[in-house]
Amino acid sequence: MNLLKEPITDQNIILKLIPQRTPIIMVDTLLFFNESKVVSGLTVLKDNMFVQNGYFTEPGLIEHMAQTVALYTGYHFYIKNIPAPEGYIGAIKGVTINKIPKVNEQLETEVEILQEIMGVTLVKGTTKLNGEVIVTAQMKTVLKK
Amino acid sequence: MEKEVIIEKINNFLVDEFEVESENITPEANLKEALELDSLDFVDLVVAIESSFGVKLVGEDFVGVLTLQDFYDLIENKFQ
Repeated sequence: MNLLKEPITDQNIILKLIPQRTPIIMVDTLLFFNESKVVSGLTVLKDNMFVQNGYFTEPGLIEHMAQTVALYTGYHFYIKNIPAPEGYIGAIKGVTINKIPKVNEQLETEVEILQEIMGVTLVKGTTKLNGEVIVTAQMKTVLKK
Repeated sequence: MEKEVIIEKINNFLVDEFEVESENITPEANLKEALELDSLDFVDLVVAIESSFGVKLVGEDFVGVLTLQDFYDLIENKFQ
């Protein structure tokens, strides 16, 4: 069940949910949140730092997935009125990228929380473009101590 | 599940999946220092244990878990 009454699209709120700042913000919408799943959105703009020759490159897709995890953690903190914690990608495995999005296309990334322990969050992520799965990966993110 | 079975399974995971030297596996071994499991390894160990034993572990379970014996006890308690 989605614990959000409606998607969060206000960029001022998004900025409160993640520690990243311009120009490395790779999520613009929080679509779904519950204790085991989060779904984010991103419209690829032409001035995105990971866009090259009109395409959103692979590092951007990975960062987008990582920031989706950050949204999950950050929303937990947000509802407790605590600033979003800083973190980093600890490990990635099983990355499959089937397609590179173009400028103006909209990504939707679902992250399933597999385990969260000792400041490490283990997730399985899937990014879709128009309903088509274009990225899958397993990722560990680590909260900065 | 019997305690001996729990211990054997956990020890086998440590050797087979995490390349821990079997001579380092003692009940008093510190998980981080003696077994050299960092927090990234530990998450994998927890997921493997959950899958194998059919238990669910959360962060609060690990408060005070420092040694392998603590970890054995935690899993055993999940069955009680």
